[in-house]
Amino acid sequence: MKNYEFLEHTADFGIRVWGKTQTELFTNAATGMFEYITDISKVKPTKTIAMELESDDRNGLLKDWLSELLYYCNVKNMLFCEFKIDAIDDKRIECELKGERIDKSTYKLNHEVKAVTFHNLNIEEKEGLLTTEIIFDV
Amino acid sequence: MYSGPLEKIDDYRWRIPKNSQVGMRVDGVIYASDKLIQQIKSDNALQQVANVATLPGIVKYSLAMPDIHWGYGMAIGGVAATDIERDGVIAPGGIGFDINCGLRLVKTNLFEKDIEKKKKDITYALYNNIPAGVGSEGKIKVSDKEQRQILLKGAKWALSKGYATQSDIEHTEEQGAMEGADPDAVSDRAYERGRAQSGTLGSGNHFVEVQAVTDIYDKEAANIFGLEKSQITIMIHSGSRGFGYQICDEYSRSMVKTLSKYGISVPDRQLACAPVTSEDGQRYLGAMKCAANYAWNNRQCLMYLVRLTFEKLFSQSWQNLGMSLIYDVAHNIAKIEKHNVDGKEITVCVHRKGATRAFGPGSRDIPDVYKKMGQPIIIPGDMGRSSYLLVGTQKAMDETFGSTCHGAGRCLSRTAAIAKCNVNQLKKELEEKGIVVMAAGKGTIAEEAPMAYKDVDKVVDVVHNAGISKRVCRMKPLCVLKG
Repeated sequence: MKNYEFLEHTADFGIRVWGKTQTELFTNAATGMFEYITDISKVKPTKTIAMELESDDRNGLLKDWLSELLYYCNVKNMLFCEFKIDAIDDKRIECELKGERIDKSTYKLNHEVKAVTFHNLNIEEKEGLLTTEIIFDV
Repeated sequence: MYSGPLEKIDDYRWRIPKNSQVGMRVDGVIYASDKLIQQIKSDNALQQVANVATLPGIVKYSLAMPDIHWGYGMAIGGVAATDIERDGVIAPGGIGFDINCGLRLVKTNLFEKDIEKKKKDITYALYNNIPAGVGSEGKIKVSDKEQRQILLKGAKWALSKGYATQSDIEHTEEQGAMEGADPDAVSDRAYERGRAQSGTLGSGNHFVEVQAVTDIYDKEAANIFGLEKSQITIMIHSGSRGFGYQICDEYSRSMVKTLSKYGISVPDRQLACAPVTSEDGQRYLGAMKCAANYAWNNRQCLMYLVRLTFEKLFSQSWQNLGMSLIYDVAHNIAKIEKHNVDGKEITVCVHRKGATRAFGPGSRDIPDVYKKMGQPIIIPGDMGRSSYLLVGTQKAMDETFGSTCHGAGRCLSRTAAIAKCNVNQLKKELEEKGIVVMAAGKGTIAEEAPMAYKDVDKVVDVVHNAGISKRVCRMKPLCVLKG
């Protein structure tokens, strides 16, 4: 099964992501986003961060969670390679993230993701799989 | 792909009638030639023009410039004005993540022959002196207290530090700072993201480019600018960096939550908005102005670094090199302006997302030296083709709330550009044309390849022939530093 694919979007960048469960969908979305930013196979899982987050609905939760990961990446210089979701429902996520802190002056990233947008973000069930598009501002 | 109704008004304008979609309050009007409209129809940009026409308080038209392309919420290349006295809204998605992304054009008294043998040195020196690339951090690090001053004073902060002159400030839109910035409307996270990024270029399509004037279309205006054929100019493209992205992100999120409070429904969450005069609208406006001021200071600091680089390379002061600022314009911003609508002057909130202000002759908001000919407009092309200097017109005031295009506009996605572009061959082709390119990011050269952009000449033809701006001169790239 495909986990995610990069999408054509003229100005920005997007992914289509799939998952059998919400946990899978969220994990695949985060993996797709970090694969665009860097080669995550080279990221070492040396630091662990626990995170809890709430939002208004399932779409909002996905956007807010990815935005939170992006905040850690852009401000705290964290790259993540493992996403372990301990508990999740439509409005709340509890997870443990593994990755490493990088020195931006020497570590070259492939792309900058400025933000996660709501544009076309709508989690649907299709043929037994959850799926959505996510468009990033890059 | 857009398949909805589209009517031709004249050679350069198209209409999406307001009865073509439920909720549209005004027509959509698109400035494009027969050829460009075909390209524009190939993605979802026109649907977004129709979506914007549903915004509460929108007056006249939901406008689109010839460089329009699919964005999120509002298309890039869109202009929308809302009547603030009739609950007109402000939408962070109608301004964009990179608040006050914009351009400045610097002239020099050098000519193409003076730098012919130095192009590589200039490009390397710019690469070394200007922090660029993903999350680049600068040499100008400031405390939170100092940062607040930047948000309030914009480019005037640089003036107080010796990074700017009074003349630079006078030649910047809004004189480098919008009144009414509210640093208390800015989150700790935005402060955190902005702290180390003053005087940095950023990534992707942001650039510093050394150019030569190739064509003069309006001699009188070119004389006023002090520009002639083969003269060297420098163009800087950057914005508010992580600071602005964070503000847009937070307010588009919070405005989704307050939509029901104001009884507003939007066809796309990324168009979340609030009445301009409401508490939520005012808070966003105050925060947006902080980001706008941050960006003006940023471009000023970048110009300062460019001046230092040239001083070193040419062993002369920048004053001796004649490096004065022609103008600095924003192309992702909202402004409260007075415009004539149906014969009556009203106060509107003009959203320009990937669109440039184009005030006509006599406007009180442009520097005295330019009053007679209209506001300077800076239009970048791609790294292989031209850029333009235009001026605003009365027709723009009458038709487009004093607005015009902002660049070539992409026609290929970044992924498609990477798939299609052979970087080594492109570099060779550029070299044959006499263009030296360096980029901080790995994929940048392919993503920003000329083939990924529409032909800027065609875009400028439309705004010139439609009369919403006037060509003054064209420049070609010589040295390009990309983020």
